[in-house]
Amino acid sequence: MLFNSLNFIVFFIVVTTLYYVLPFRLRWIMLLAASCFFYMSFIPVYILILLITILIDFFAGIYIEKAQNKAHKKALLTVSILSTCLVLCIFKYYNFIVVNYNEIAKAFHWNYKVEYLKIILPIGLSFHTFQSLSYVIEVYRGHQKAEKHFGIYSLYVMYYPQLVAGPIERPQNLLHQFKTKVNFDLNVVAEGLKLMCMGFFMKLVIADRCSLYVNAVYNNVHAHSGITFIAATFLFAFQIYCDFAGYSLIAIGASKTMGIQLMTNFRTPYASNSLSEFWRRWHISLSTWFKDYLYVPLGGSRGSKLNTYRNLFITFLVSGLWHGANWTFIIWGAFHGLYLIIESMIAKGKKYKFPAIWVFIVVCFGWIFFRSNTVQDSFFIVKSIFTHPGKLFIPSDQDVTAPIYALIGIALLLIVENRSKIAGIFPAANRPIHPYLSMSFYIFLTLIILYLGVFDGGQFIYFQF
Amino acid sequence: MIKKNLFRVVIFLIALIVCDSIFGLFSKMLFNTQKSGKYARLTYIIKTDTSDIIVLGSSHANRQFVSDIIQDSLKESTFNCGTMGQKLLFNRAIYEFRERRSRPKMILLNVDEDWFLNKRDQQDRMSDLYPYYGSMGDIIFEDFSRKDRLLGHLKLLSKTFPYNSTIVHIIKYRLKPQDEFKGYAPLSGVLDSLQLALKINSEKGLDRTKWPPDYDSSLVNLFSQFVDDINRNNIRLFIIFTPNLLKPYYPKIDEEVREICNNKNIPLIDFSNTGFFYNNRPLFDDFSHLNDSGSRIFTKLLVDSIKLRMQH
Repeated sequence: MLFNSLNFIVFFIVVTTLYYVLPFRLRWIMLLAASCFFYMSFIPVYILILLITILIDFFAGIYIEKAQNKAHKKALLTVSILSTCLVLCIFKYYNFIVVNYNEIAKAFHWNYKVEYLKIILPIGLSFHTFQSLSYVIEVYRGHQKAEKHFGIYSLYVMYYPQLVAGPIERPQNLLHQFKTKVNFDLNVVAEGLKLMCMGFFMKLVIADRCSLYVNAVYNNVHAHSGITFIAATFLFAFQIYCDFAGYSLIAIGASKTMGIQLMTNFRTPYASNSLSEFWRRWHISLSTWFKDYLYVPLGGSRGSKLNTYRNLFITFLVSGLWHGANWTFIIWGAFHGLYLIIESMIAKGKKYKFPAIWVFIVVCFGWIFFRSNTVQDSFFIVKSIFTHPGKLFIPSDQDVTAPIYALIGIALLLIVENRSKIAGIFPAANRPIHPYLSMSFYIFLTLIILYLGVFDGGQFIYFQF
Repeated sequence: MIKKNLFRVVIFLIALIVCDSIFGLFSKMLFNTQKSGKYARLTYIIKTDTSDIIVLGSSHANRQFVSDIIQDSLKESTFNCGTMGQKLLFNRAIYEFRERRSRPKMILLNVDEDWFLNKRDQQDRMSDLYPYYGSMGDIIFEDFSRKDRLLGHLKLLSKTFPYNSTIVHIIKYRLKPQDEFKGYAPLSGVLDSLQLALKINSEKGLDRTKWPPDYDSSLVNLFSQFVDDINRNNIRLFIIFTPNLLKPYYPKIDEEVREICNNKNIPLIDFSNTGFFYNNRPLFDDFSHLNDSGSRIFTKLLVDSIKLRMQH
């Protein structure tokens, strides 16, 4: 069930209403059942994979807590991490490994061809795997008590708003909220609905519009030239931002209507003055996950400069691989890792501010690899940008309007995101907003969504990760 | 407190409904002022046209069937109802609406090789007809599942939503009206030779013997019913495959249409493998559409073929 479908709207209304109508002791059961239903609306049988991950980490958490010595705890943690990652590897990386192995075998004339697995990647597998891992690691570190209630723990992994595309929550933030009674508060519900409204605007008005142009260009690279690739990459930068930040806002908003707070996932990342700042503002739940569970355990910035650079590079390489089993993602991760190393060499430990437009261009350059279907395509695009500017591709008739609507949406988004800066220019805008004015804004946003949104249920990009 | 909250919710909902109605009404007025472009054509087709011969199909129909040549040769009023990006579901809806209001004598149905693909996408593209929901609501959702039909009707409770994504189109064709001749919208360019070479290169090794992954057999049945409906109403039907610059992607689908035509004894005029057009770059505006010169040659050949078949 996609957030941007009428089915979800009906589902959301029913679940949120039931949440407040039911007595507190029954709420978790209803939420868990609703989350199962939500997940099973994609491919029902894949709930079994989720169940395996839940079972492994639920019992791992209990036994890690019970374990008497550190070596025992560590062994249990290792078993838990390996088995959880094994599920991820089989579904996400097995065919990638086989493709590469077969290519090498072909090159060396080995006669051992390995067959591909005919499987579809379960939706959001990387997200709930990471959320589950986060739990066992926190229990191991003693930051979180092992959850003894299987239902509540299952709900922690399966909680529907963030089940398929995050934010990747930490047990300290989420688990206790399922045990805290929340009373109906219209202001809280209204805040949640406002976030959802903004999320729908970002997804339906901007991301899905941009995708029409971006797909037309990136899925047929040989028919286009440099200037078109620049336009498509600019639109893709906003597509992926609005797609994912939009999803996150809908998730956070849907959860907030039930009084459950999820972590902020994006904070105007394209306004960053360095790439390291960009990563503190982009997909915060994932970047902090990598920082806490990979970068820091590798040694972080505690050792020599060379070690710091190595840790940074490894973290971004893994982050690239997390995003997808394709060399394009690995190159994207490596590019970010390398650039961050160069940036930290220039900054020399001080806070160095680059112009935001430069950082945006660097990020866009990375997006070329991220969005390209193959490595060959990405290099063709880069080469075309520098050697063959050509003519701007104008789509025929109805599709020509797509980038225009997207640009209108982007302009509106920039106004909303920079309202505090605008308020600085116009002092009158600093006055507290009257509730009815705020209400008018969201009515306006709803009308814009109805008038300019794309309503054919386009997938969220991050579902595939 | 509860009363105050309830009051705020009620005010919000009333304000939303009122704003939606006002904005919808304004959008409708703006929509109805169009004199050129896709929606102006659609409004004409749905509300006014009474031509004896109509051309149905996608952009291949719209850009390649010269209405004047057909009208002059066959001595019957002709209108080209081909609509960009539209496939089976849309053309069936247009036919049904037209047939209810004024029955044409002849239909030239241009079938593309993607007519039996991706029903969901075809349903989504029915949104072109949402502005006419008031007069053809039942036809728009006729081939939808019960659930999709219900969701469709639910969406259109909004007065703004039917005019979704129409504003830029309205402005564009107001600033630069489209050249159109009884529904035929000519293309004037000539395909770039470098682009063609790149395209040919990128299609090397493409397996054209496979069924496309989004092939939907329910659309084949629907096409069969569509053809039966036209026959039942005694409308003369010609199914046409338009010229290709390159090899077709899905020859298996063409075969399927051929079989249906054979079984139902419907004349099929096939230009898809005509050597004259194949690889004849100067006649094409892009990879799949003839330019005006190409379209005129094609339409002349087409009417000759129709005349010949009518004599027999």
